[in-house]
Amino acid sequence: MNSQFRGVLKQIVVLLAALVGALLIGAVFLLLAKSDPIKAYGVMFAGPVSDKFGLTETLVRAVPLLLVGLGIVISFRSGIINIGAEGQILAGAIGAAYVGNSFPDMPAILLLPLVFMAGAMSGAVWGGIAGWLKARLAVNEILSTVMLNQIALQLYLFLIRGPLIDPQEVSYGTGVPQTALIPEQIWLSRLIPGTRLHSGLIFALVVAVLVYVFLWRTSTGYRMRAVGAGPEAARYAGINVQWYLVLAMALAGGMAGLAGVVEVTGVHHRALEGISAGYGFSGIVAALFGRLHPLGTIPASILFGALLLGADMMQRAVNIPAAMVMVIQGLVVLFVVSSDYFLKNPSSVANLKVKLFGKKVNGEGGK
Amino acid sequence: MKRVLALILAALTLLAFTGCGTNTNKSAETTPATKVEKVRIALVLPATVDDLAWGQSMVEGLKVVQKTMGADKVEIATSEKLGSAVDAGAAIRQYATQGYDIILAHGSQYQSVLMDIAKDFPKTTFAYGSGFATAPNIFAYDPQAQDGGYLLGILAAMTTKSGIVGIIGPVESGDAVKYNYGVQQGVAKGKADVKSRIAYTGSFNDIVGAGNLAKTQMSAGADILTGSSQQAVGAMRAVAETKGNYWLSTDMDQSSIAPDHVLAAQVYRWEKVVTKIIDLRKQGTLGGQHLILSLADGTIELKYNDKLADKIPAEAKAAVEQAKADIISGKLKVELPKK
Repeated sequence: MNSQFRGVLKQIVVLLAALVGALLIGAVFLLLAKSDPIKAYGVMFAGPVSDKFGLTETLVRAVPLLLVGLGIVISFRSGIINIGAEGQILAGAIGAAYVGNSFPDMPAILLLPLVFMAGAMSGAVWGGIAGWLKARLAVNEILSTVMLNQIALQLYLFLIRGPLIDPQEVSYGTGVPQTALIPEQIWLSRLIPGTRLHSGLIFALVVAVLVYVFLWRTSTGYRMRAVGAGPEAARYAGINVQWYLVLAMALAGGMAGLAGVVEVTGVHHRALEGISAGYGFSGIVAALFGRLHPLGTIPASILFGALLLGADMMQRAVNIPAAMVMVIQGLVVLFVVSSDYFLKNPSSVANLKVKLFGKKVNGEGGK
Repeated sequence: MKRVLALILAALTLLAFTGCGTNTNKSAETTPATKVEKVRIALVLPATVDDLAWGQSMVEGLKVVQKTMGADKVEIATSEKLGSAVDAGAAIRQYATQGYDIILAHGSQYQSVLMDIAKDFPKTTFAYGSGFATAPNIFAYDPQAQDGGYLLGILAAMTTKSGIVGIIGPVESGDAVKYNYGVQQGVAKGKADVKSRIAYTGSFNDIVGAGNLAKTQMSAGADILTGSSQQAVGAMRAVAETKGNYWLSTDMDQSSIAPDHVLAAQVYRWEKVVTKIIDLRKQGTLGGQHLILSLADGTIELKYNDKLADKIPAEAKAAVEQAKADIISGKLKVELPKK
């Protein structure tokens, strides 16, 4: 138990050190921009947790981050790196909006599951393409998913500007690229009136538990993790590695697609430009921060939701340029991802200490 | 066991995070002191406050309002680079929660977001544009960009020496498409054999792309160019690097940036629109009106660059002024694009 406790402590210390490091460097930039870093960070951290607005908006961002993150967990655990969540979100969003608007008179009890299915399927197909390319033609999935993001984005823009554009926009001549509003019966209910927090949160939490059960309590999940841990060994054990690669990417795409569905049904009630909002990338970081565990991803996505919102609020409270907000967000991502090195190499922290203090110190991660 | 660890880790980081938050809570508090008389205006921008176009024109307008009404009577808060609907929604909602009286969401893309938020804040006035759809507490403002475009089109057609007018558009929607449509009609009206050529960058922000398109247009013979939105600044700069080519600006008067190349400008006088919104709100009208910016009420102005006055033929100016009078009197109606 002692060694496990130490392991946890180490993880916490390393991740916190990464956060602090990012913020310290960010502070230099803030000083250069002639703003007060203490005040700025005060808002950044206090804003998201200080009132009803901050808390609900944090959770509004956490929902898509969690769903995307769960897909990332599945794909990374299966040994395939999915950078394509942005495109998969768009596929899910457009699928949901299209099906939702195709059956405006259908009762919610039928239409809502149909819309969720459509979005998940669209995302799954989009993700599955990269999986298939990897399994059949050994195409590097990082390249293919990044490229598929571009294709998805252009297709999405074409659809919301052209065939699926809101007829009202056409009739007035403004032509704002967005689909018509989806029928009101499938708008997800708002959990707290006067805020944007919607029941998609509950859905995402349930999915997180399901993904955990799937990966750790079913034989399919076990095989997928086996493929991730060692594809050659898995093949030797008689596992159809190619099939599980495609499945992993399809599931990852499906999760990201669901994030798109939730944004359409819960937040925007239509598909519009910029709906993916970078969640496809932030979700990867949330999953990594959650140590690639479905349940760990829950608090991690809330944390990143707060971080995204806090940085955004900082702009309004202390009047710093928006670009600075993005610098700080980028620094946090960079540091958190880099901190993985220290967590993966058991001796790294001890080595660092030797380097810093010139002698070997007992124990690790002491404050 | 690993999952337990992960859970504990995650829970602890979250705790640490919130703990951090409460510690610094006090320093973060913003001053809530609001006087009854003061109008609090919040502005949400898709691009930046200094984009030399759409965004900046509104910022300048608000500054004028603040100056005329008194700095102690008007409070202004601005958030920029909120192109994503999620972030914009959060910003608008936060401003509403903080008790701002008027929230200007300066972009046609914010319509959907406002419709959603406005229901929850019935006492707040929201406004956005370009747009048409309103709600009891939402104003939609709508510059008749095609009118100014028409006038600039006539001016271009009667001034060009090469017979080609180049248009650098951002995206085929909203204000931009109305403006371009107006320019095209104006060019056709101004001189029958002058051609207008149109090219889109596909983005409101692609300054580099617009610059390249402008160079292509100029090497294909265009000597008078125009274009709207933030990206057009790139095109204007490309024109300013050359000699003998001219630029027509819209949204705001860009002649201060390229004094030797900007012939004339369509200028939006946002201060008049904002003042109108403030007055309507004082009278108890929180929204529900489609506010049109037009040449007739002076919310749209045509400005000539005095420094280049000799470059514009007298008959061109006369034709423009005639068309302007006809638009104001209602005799002439510039058509809107129909799909």
